[in-house]
Amino acid sequence: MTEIFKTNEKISELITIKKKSQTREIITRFLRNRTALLGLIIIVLMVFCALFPQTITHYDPIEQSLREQFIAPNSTHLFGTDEFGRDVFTRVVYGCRTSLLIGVTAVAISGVIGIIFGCISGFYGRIVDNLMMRGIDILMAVPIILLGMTIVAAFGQSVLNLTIAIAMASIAPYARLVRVSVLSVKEKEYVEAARATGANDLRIIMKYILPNCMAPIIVHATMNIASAILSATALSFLGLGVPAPTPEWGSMTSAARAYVRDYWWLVTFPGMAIMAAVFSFNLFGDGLRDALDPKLKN
Amino acid sequence: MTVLLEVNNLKKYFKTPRGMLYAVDGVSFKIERGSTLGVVGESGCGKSTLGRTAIHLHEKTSGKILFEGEDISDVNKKQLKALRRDMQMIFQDPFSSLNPRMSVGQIIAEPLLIYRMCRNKKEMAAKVEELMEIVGLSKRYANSYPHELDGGRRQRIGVARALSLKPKFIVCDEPVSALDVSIQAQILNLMQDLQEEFDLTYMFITHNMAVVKHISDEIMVMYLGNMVEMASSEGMFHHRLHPYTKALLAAVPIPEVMERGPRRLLKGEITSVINPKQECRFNTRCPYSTEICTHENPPLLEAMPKHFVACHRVKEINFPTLTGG
Amino acid sequence: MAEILLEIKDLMVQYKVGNEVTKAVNGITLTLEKGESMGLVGETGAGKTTTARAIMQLVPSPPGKIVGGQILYDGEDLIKKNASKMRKVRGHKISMIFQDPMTALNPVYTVGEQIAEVIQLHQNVSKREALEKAKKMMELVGIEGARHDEFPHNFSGGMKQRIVIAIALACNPSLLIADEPTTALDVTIQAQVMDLIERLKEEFNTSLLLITHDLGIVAEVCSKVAIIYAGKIVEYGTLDHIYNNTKHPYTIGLFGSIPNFNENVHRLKPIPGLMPDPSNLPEGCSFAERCKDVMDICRRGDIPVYEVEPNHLVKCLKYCKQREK
Repeated sequence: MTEIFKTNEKISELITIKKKSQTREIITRFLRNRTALLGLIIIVLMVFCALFPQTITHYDPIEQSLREQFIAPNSTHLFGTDEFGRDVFTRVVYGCRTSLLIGVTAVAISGVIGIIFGCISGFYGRIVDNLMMRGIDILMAVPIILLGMTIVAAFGQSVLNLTIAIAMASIAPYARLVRVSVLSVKEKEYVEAARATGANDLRIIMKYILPNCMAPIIVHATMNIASAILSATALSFLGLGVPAPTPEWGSMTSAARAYVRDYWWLVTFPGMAIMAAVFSFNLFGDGLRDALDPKLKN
Repeated sequence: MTVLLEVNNLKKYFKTPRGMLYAVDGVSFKIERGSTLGVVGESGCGKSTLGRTAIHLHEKTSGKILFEGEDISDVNKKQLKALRRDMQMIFQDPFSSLNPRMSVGQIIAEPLLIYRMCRNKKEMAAKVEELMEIVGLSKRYANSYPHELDGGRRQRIGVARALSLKPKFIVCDEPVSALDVSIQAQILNLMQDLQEEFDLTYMFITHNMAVVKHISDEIMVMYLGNMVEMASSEGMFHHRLHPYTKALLAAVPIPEVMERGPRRLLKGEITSVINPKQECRFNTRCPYSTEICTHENPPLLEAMPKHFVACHRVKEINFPTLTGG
Repeated sequence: MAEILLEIKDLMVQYKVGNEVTKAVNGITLTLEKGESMGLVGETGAGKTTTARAIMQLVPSPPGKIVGGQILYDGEDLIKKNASKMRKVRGHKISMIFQDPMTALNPVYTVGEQIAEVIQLHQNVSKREALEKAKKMMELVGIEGARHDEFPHNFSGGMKQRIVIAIALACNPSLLIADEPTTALDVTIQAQVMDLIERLKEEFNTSLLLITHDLGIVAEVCSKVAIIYAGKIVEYGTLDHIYNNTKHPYTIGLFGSIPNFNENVHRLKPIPGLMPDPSNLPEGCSFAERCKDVMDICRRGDIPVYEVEPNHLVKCLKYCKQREK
């Protein structure tokens, strides 16, 4: 027995193994995609704006200066000023923080709840699955605007309530996505093998099933941030979202409706910011999906 | 010789939309410690289900299972977990039986972790290394992932994982069918060596006749949920009493240049056994089928010393001169 | 002197992904006569499927590409044919059947339609006539013509493979390429399908290129054998040459790896190691690392082909005293 193993050893030393960890492969594939890279760059810029707005602009986003109302874009005020004399550029930059905060938090909350739902539903099946999925169906039937209005009407207008409303509307897709992944992975032989070695249900879900479902979840989460930001701006536009005077792109655009004709910069720049944010997350998500394509995993 | 595993009238039925599938329908056998029972048959015969049910991976429908003399037919979760240490499984597909998100070392260490067999990380790593060496895997692969390795190495990981708890009994479900011929031979030799070194008992499930003859001490032939013949390896190949066994062995292409007579083919297709009637399940394809075969399922009888066959006409077909009078 | 139907000369096929070049086929030369059947035997990654695809000009490109050699069919070089000319050849002059019958048929068309489709593509007949011919083909392969309007999912694996054969032979091609046609089938069904292929081959005088890893099937059906390893043919000759006078160490190793039906061997003699990575082939003989008779000169330069007896060619320096070919 030992001689064959010794020969195998020698041979393996001569044959070089190409040790590329899966993550490195994915990163390389992602970086090759130029549009995805563009998305990533914009996201990094936004994160920077969110974390260190003071380094980009020295103005205060909230302090009013009525003598400087409605100044058109120039060298001192890149995006001009609004009806209260506040620098629009500064408000757009600070708006990054609000939007990203809401977007990421809402996705995190809905993600965790949705994954738990999806796991239990997919893993245990039958009655549990049926009941849970019907609950999800009901949740999906409620339009987010309506949900937002209800929550704000009941609990008041605040960033937290806005985030909760958006999170609740986003749970359903995660639950469904996870459930489908769990259903397919559950039947794989390595799950059976884990059972044969005595693993309990929790271990099987956490170590064997979930890690193999993560690809579609990650992609969805990224796109979800985009739609969460969009929802936040929509609700704020309607007056249900972030209360004034916190800078938020949606409420800025809403307030600028009255001045669209005369002071175009009040609507344009916040609008472009919304577009850039959504666009970048979508590009990033698309790139991620391509990079994680299981076809290339072989 | 002590009997390690004894199975009595084991049945496993599955509920399907079209009716009840009688996957395993009353199978009984004994496996002696240190020996290998080969289970052969084609698609739908129930051999994989049999293997899994015997070690409680499927919940049995009825029947008795005795392990080392103890009745383990109905066990609770705690007893089952303890049992798992003694009864392990090696799977067919080295590509899908390993978690793609875990490294080789993690996969082999899993059973040790679940049963808390090691006191610290160092002990665990040492044990994993030891297991890898036993199965002929270079320890450089400990941090590799399954998709980076070839079929033969992946199957060695499966073997190492099965060995980690020092089991007494291993069900091998087509462990070499997905491998190239030259790698098959390496793994078969490995399994034989391990059996000698660790006094292992195997249930070796396969559809490959030559492989089963090579590795088994006793062979059991299954067809649509029933055991149709059981004998020693030599006896099975020498005598082949059941018509299905005859057809099965005749169908195997032999890699030799020789005069071949006209092929004696089995007519018909392999069906599935949903809501079966009272009949011999092989009768629709059997060249010797008569009236009794269509309304009575033949019992398993000892046609020759230690050679069991389930066929109404076994004596007439095989020993025509003895019947009569 | 028998007519030569297919002549492959020094075929080279490569796959290029990014910067990595995989040399799938590295100079394959073989000849097939009219009505002859040849077995192309090799393991996974040897290049047999790529060779078959190359003949049909179906190598996916990118990333694959035929980078050298000729494929002469009836005197014409298939590599030089443009797409529309090649389409006239496929299904009509050369047909191919693939390994997995489960996915070879389109699930949304009836089987009759699928057989009729190939007839309509190459013969100038009406739809009704084509369907009539299709029904006749079905009867020929052992399936009731009345079932022509059923969908593939109504048929078992063996029957699906028969339908695939019917499609392949519908236009009476002179060459049938069968890529592991029975690997996915049960043993008794495999015997039925191989029998069918043989009968039809006789009836239509079709040449057969059988690609497989199973030396048993080759012995049953083929008269000539080519052993392929790492994209090159290492041994080539008649059935008798290869089975009774095996010369190349790889072929000897292959025979040593398979459990013998008739003799009792305690341990198999597997070939140690693995086939080399086709994107990183070593210099000299690709088998050198695994060969127990390896010599220093084996690792340098191209290995010539020697004729060890009339029409028996071996690519191995052990036989350098023989005539070079």
